Amino acid sequence: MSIRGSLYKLSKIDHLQEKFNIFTSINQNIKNELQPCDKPLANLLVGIKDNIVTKDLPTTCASGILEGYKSPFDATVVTLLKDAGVVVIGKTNMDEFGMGSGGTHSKFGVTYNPMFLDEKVVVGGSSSGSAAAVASDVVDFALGTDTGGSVRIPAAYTSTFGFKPSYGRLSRFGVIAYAQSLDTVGIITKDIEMIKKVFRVLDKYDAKDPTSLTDDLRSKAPSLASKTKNQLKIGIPQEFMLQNISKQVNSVLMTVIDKILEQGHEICPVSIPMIKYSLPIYYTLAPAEAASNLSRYDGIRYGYRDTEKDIYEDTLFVPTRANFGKEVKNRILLGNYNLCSGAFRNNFLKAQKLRNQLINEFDNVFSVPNILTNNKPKDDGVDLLLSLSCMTPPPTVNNFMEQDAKTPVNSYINDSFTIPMSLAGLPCISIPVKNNVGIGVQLTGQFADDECVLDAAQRFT
Amino acid sequence: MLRVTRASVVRFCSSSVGKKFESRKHIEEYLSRATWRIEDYIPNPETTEPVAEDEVKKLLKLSGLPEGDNAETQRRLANQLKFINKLHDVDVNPSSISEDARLMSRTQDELTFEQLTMLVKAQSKNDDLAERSGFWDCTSLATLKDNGYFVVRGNSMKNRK
Repeated sequence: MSIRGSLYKLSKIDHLQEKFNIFTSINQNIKNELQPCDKPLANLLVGIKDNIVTKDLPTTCASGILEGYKSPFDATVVTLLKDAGVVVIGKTNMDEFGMGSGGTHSKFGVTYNPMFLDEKVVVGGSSSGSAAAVASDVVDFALGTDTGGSVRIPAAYTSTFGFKPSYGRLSRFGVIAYAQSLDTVGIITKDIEMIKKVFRVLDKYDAKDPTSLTDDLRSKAPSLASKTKNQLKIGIPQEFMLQNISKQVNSVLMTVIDKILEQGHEICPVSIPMIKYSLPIYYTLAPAEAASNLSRYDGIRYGYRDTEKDIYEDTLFVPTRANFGKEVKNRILLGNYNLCSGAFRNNFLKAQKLRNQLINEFDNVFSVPNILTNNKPKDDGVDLLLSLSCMTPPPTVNNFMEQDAKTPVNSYINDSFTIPMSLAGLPCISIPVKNNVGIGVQLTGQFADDECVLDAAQRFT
Repeated sequence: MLRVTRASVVRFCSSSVGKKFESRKHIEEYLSRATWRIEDYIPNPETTEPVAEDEVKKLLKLSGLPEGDNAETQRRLANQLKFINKLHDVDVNPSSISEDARLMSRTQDELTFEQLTMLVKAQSKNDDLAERSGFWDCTSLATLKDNGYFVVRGNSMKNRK
């Protein structure tokens, strides 16, 4: 990107911020950081989700509990981007600690969808500001995080590309944990080639992240073992055929299917029964991990601290922790319930077993092996899975908040198409479909077969 | 694909790949055949029995969260629990015995004592992780501190439960 091009993007930032509430903080030194250089991503502008730490800008997770917090170090993904010549334009708004699918649960207020100028429409979450920044062209790309769909859903709602790599391929060092067995850094942009370039820069083993995929395992990735196939076999899981999907939404999927057939690829039905149980599995495990991770926010060492007290009615840190938002409190309670002895045996351990079962079921439909499970691949297996990214186009903000207020479960089902892949750590991308604003189609590959997913996304758009 | 074996509990059945679709029309028909309703997973907030108030109070205390509208919390938690209790509608595959669902290599080579000793010797301290003593003032971000110590305000707690 030329410095001139970047300066043009910057000239729109104040207006767009006022209109869509994209950022939680903006870099005031950008113009000085744009310098002629010969680096792979020179002078590209990036928005960083506000749960990825940066030493030059605050990191709040859009929560009152981290008000004013500035990290003493950069996350590894931020360091790698800076080293490649990228300039951070600001931190992007999000659902507090990544908990939400609408971009409505933020201390900084709702982020609005730039694709809908006539009404206030949900942008999707939790990487709401990252998707809005890309959709409004104020950045070249943005980083989000995806725990159960938080990159893919806002990408679908804004008709952008949202890529969630395999778990462990991008470093989580400096990514503030929501549910560490699921959290994955993802990339949102309008240009699939840009995703490939950024992924090449970030796709590295990081010794500082104990869950980073080792070089040994990376060398066994399916994409490296097999040449890019000319003819792909693509499966459509029958468990994603839900009764409430409209004909209009299914016709969007058919648009992509037509393209796939035109190119001579095969399509077949697949069945992965455990997909139906993915939501209860996820909402048992993720809040339990969240309750544990969020117990560290006591105000003593960093972040917001109540001005007067640390103890209330014999319970430590209540005055400070009251500053969590409503949905975060909901999930902490649910998580702690599941970690209590009776529920732990009944719910948590069962959810773990069923998660394993889901991974085995995914393994059993792919033509290439899972490098983590070392399974025997299926002879007549598929290369990719195809589905929608979300059930409906984005609702209005009022409608979303009304449903969410009745019971949080109403918004949990937005993640129906994205959560199964998160539980198995699979690489997926939500791709936009021409002339269909706000609906995305999702491609999923076997674990570590990220390149196959990206190549297919390029072919099918 | 799924076989009901006893009232409302579904026996595990493995995944499968079908034959390729012969035509576009077959795919369209396939997409229009709904296999289930997500609404069946959403409990009716009006008819769900709230969680007991004592249970909610205990969880709030355990979570370090203040009490507020307890009745509302009892109702919301009950809905969430009813939602996740769908887990119990399906049996676990007996061959899937592992409880550990971490996304890491399932087969690990055993480490010998010699290998462990060598790894310990080769270990270096990482400044980025603040592993070296004195590299980082850990109280630098604290609102209240005293001579290198963190400060917690309040008298010693009585009746701690």
